[in-house]
Amino acid sequence: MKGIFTILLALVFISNANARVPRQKIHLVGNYDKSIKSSFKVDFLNKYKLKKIKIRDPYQDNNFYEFEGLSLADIFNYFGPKAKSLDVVAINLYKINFKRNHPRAKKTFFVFKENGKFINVDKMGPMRIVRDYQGIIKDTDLALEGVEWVWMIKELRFE
Amino acid sequence: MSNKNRISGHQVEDNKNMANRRAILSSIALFISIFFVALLLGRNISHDIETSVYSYRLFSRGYLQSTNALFDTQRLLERYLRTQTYGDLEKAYIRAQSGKGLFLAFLNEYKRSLRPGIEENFADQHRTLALFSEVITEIEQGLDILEEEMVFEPTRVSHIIERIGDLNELVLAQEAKAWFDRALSFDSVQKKVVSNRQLLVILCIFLFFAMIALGYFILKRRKLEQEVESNRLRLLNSHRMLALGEFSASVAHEVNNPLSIILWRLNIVFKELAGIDEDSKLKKNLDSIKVQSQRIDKIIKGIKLLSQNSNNLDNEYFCLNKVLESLEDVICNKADLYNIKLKIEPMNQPVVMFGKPVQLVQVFTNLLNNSIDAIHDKSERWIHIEPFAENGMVEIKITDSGHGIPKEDQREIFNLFYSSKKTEGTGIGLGLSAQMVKSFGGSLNYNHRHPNTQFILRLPYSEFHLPKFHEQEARREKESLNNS
Repeated sequence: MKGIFTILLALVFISNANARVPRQKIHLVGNYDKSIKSSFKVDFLNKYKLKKIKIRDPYQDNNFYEFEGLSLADIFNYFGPKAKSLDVVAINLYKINFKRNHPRAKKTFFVFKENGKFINVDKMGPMRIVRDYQGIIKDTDLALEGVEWVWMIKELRFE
Repeated sequence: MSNKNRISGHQVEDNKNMANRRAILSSIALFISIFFVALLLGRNISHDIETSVYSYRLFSRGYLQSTNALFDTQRLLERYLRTQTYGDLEKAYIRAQSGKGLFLAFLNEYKRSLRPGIEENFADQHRTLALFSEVITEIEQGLDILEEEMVFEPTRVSHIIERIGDLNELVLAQEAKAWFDRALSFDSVQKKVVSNRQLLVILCIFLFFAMIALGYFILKRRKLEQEVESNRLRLLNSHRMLALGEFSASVAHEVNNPLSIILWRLNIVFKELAGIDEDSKLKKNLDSIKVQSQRIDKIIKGIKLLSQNSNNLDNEYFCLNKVLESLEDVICNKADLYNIKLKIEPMNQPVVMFGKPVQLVQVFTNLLNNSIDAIHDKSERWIHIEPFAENGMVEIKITDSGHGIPKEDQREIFNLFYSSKKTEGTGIGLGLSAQMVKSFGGSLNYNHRHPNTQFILRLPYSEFHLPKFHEQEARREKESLNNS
């Protein structure tokens, strides 16, 4: 009885730990929709219509993962309806620019959940960019493709 | 027969085409296989270099990003010590997490870039990750303490800062070691590139020479095929000539019987007309019949002599002088036909040899026939045979009024199946003659120094053969008397 109780307690603890929202906040800067708060933790995004994609993650041994988040097109629509471009800045200040008319705007996703759990900073979270691509990306293609796969996003700067 | 020849001709042509096709296909296959080997080698080399260089830079970037995150964490913790605000500690916590995340992500990407089968020891890197986790946990504990509105002691923060400093040194030391290892392996990759380039050059040189050799063998093969085809035609011709010879022999035999009767009857008529006037027309007509009949007899004897299959005859003692005398009977008709002056010098001494006289007759006939064919349309027409015996060796010079054999043909004339007569010759005449002479222990040579066309026949003989020859002739005479 005591053993069962211990196991149940441990499970509760583990599920709580997984459900814990990463501390890193996402900051909105520049020409964004001012009705939205400028800094938020990723659980704030749950109020939007999220999309789920299942892809092979090239940075995790090409294993299948189900990611949840918003497409680049949705990010523009929800947070920067008047913005023409977006700078995505990572914790290490790595920065990449996306135009509103990016050819793969609907295939590029800003995800914050991996297999239903929040992604922590030490797992490239709290938010990262992935591409909805069915199949394995070749090693030779990943160098260029990976440029847009920003990890550890901390700031979205709309212009 | 002609159909058969035509069919076999087609087959020869088909075989030639097939051989050519095979040669072309094999050369293409050789070229393609070497091309693909070179291409694969080249691809392998370039892929190795590209992935090596990229992964080395990537790994270094991972180390530097991590150390940057650790420095940043240290800076934020020091700021927390000054400000004592929750936000600074939280930022320090996130930055430490990002350092670990970056280290892990770049490590995974580096592992991914390694070629299958290459094992590297990542124990140091895993130890670093564990240290990262410990530091992160300690900062998180501080955050928990602050959330419970308790005091997070500055000494603990200082201790974390020191640990981060140690961790940073460890990461930088690993980066230095990894860079050194990468430099070594990059050097080996470069050496491999040089050796592979040399291999490619050798392969290209080999390909070049192989193509030349292949071309040479194709040409050689074509030449041989042409020779085989031409020899095949000559062989067919020689078979035809053999059949003709056999036919001639049987005709000669059939003609010989009534001719013997005619000559016998003529002798009787001459005996009965013993007292007739020599100048009478009857006598003159009968003389003419006798002369012409004797001429027919000589021709028949010549045909019979030449058409004998010498391989089936036994060796015997024979007089070379008589062989030369018999030549006149065999060849004089043809020589007369073209108005060629044939002069056969007598032997300076009697020479007896052991062997098959018919073979020698055939050798001489062949040489004389060649001479007649060569000079019959020339203004000056003569053939001269000069035998001379001395010290066990007879040298017979057969010279005609021709102007010699062209230099390019001189080496070939004694080869079996070689003929300078484009369509008429069988090519087996001189070659076979040379072989027959060789079987006598002699030699047959062309004398290129003579202004006219001259062959020199040398035959060994022995003086001890003479008494044996007389014995043989006496025995034969006795047998013939007994038979009659």
